[in-house]
Amino acid sequence: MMGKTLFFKECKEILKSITYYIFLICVAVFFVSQMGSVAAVSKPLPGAESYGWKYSDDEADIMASALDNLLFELSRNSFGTYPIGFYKQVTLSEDEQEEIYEILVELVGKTKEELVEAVKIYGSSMDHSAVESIYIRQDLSYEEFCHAFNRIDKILGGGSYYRDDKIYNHARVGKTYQDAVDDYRYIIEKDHVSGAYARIFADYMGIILGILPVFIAVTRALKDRRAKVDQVIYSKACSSAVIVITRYVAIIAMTLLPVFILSINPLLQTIYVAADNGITVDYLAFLKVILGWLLPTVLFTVSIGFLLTEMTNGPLAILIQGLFWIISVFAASTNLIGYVGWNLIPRFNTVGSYTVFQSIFDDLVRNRIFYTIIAILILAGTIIIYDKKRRGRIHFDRALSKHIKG
Amino acid sequence: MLPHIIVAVGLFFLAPFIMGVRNLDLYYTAKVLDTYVSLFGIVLLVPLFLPDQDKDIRELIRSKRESIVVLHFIRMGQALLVLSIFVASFLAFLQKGNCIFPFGRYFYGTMSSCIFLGGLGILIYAFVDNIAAVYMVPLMYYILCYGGGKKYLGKFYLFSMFNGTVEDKIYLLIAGLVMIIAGILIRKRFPG
Amino acid sequence: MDMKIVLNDVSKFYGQKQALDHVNLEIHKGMFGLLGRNGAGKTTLMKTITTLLAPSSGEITVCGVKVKEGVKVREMIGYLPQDFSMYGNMSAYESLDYLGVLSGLSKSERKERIPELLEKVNLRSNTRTKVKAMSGGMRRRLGIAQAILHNPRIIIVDEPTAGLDPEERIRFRNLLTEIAGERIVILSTHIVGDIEATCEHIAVMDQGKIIFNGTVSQLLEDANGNIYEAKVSRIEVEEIKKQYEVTNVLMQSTEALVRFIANKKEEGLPTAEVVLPNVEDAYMYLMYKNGGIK
Repeated sequence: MMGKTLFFKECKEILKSITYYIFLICVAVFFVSQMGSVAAVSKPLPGAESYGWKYSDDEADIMASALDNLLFELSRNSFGTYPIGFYKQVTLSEDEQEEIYEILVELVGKTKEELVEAVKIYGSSMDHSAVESIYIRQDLSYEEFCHAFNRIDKILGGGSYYRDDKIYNHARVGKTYQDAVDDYRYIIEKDHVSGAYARIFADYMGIILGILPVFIAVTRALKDRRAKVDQVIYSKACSSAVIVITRYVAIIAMTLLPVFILSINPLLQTIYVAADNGITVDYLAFLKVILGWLLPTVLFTVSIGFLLTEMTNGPLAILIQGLFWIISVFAASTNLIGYVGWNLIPRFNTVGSYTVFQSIFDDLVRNRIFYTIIAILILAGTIIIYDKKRRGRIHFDRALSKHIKG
Repeated sequence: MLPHIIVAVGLFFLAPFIMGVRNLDLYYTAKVLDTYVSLFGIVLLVPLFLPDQDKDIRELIRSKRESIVVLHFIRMGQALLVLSIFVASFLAFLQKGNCIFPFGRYFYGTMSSCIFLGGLGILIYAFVDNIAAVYMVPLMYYILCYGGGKKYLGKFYLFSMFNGTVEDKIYLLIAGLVMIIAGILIRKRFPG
Repeated sequence: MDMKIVLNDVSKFYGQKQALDHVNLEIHKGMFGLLGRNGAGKTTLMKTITTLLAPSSGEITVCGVKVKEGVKVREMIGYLPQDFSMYGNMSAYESLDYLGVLSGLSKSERKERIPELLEKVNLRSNTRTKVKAMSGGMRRRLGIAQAILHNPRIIIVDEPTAGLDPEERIRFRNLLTEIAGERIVILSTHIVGDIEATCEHIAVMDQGKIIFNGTVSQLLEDANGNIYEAKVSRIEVEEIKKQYEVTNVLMQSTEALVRFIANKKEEGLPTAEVVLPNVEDAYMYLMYKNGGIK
């Protein structure tokens, strides 16, 4: 079939491209520098100083830590929210701060003056003892607390972690030895270790897969015109869909190939650790994250590369995808575990934390399906534009490219 | 050049939405400048040779009286000017948002990183006629630094302002300028 | 299924500029030449036939198939544009292989035909040569090879000899004639000599219009009796140029042989004789009739 032969030829051509080799170097070096520092999963020993943290579901814990964080943010008048899935920093006006204090008064049983004073000292001295005396009333129910904090969330413009569905995020407590052991058992029995490693692999690789493939895509999309073979290719019987799709799939395949190969290393590590503990490994764990987690990122990146290059005959796609990439990377940097939102590059920067992962799993699935669909739509758009250019129905690219080149 | 300026402007206005830009101390300011503003170098300096990407245009320019090298130096000067304006504006913006840091030193430090990244791109552009590769290499360098390349890159590590010191920046600055000059001169010989 | 291409009242606008002006044309088997100045509309015309440009109005039918049905028409056509090259890193063989796949040829077909074609266009010894190392002439030959690779019924070649040295030009013309066979071959050029050597039927275009459609003999006949030749001194050449449309000047030591267009024997030039027009003269005469040259 035309498509299959074309696919292999395109793959062969990619191997001759300099951007591909830069890509390989980048992937390899990035992988080595990042994954090399991944802590091995090992059975926790009793008597260690710390076992890391976990989310507490003790209501008292949640209330106390949420309050604590609120006071901290109040002292600097700087609040972090995620109204549209990306981090946004909120600063409150005098009136808005007043409102919050008024709500707090009901919750802690101190007067407003006392509160304001304590927070002010906290703010200027950064000394936590200033607010040590501020705590939730004993007789306050969890429902009343959540109700009050939802109001605070509204004042902040929504999307904050003070909202009842996200408020658990504040309650990070130290893990006990028993917690650590439980976690460890989770990893071994449910996650099969491979899940844990696979997730951190996906976390790191996503960072570069959200930007580097666009260069390969742009190079390919510009190639025909630069080689002065575009008119001849247009005149061939092959359909536009086959032409665009085979190029697309070839790039996707060649991009993921080195990722597959690199994943063999952590997979082997996994097998080793598992053997140590006498449990089975999910051999497909890495395949699953590469296809389920990383693939949509690559699909989107390459699609954008194709569409914008086809539309402008220039490197604009690099700049636009660059913007997407910067947003994704920076926006996530304040919460690398436990939040994926609509981020192009979903992060999960830890080994294990299976329960946390479970809580965001649905979000992750929705996110990945979203980006896959968008990527396919963009690709369809590319095929349409390619075909219109082929039939001479679009001349706008001539006008646009004059501006872009310049 | 225009779309690049638009993107730079976009980046500028995007900043407050995707990271904290107020009340930052020395450390966090440095972080923002090193990791975010340094990217302006790639966006604004790398497109130096773009207008004459087309081989025919290159031939045409070469046949004119003024040396193509002089032309490139002039363009570079313009680009550097635009870059300084962006960087200075960003710093001013941060100061207005109550960030506390030494303006002059941080300006110098940020510009050094920008010039280094831009220089990398320009040097590559002198050898390789592939637009994508030209943006890719500085980005690759940036990613390497991001991914903990401090031990391998030493003095040429991009994010060295974190400690509030700018002593290592001089290496970046000089290397960057050398690469820019080399790039312009080499490009002259290699029609590409 | 009639072997012909029919253009019916075809016009094409690029914004305000009209590139094709109510073109009516029927092209049959054999070598068909499209002659005209740069910018006359030849490339535009060819592209509309090849489906690479959509006419603003009018209809084009290729062997019974409307040009709107892109794929079906493209299957029948082999196209060589003016500005042709290929991916620099590919060898001659690989290039033909790649384009062959795009034309829908099977592996065995490609394996069989490509060596034959390379032989035919005299690139056998360059089978492994990379395109970036090829000269203009070699690339042009590669171009014609890819155009006939899939054995199309119609071959459309745009300015095939532009930029080739005289020897290559002749070879290329012969090649085209050789492969014409039972096909429709349309070639466009602004070099009259190309047409002369190869085509029976021609059309002349100017400013998007067809100003002549017929055989070369007809073109010559039209101009017959209107071409004069006179032997004058070199100084007089400029004077003559001012007074008449000169079609050719041949410098000979102290004298010059000037061919020019005139209706009857003029007094000022008693030595002028009527001569049989060549194609170049006939073309110039046609242009002159149509409202002046340049």
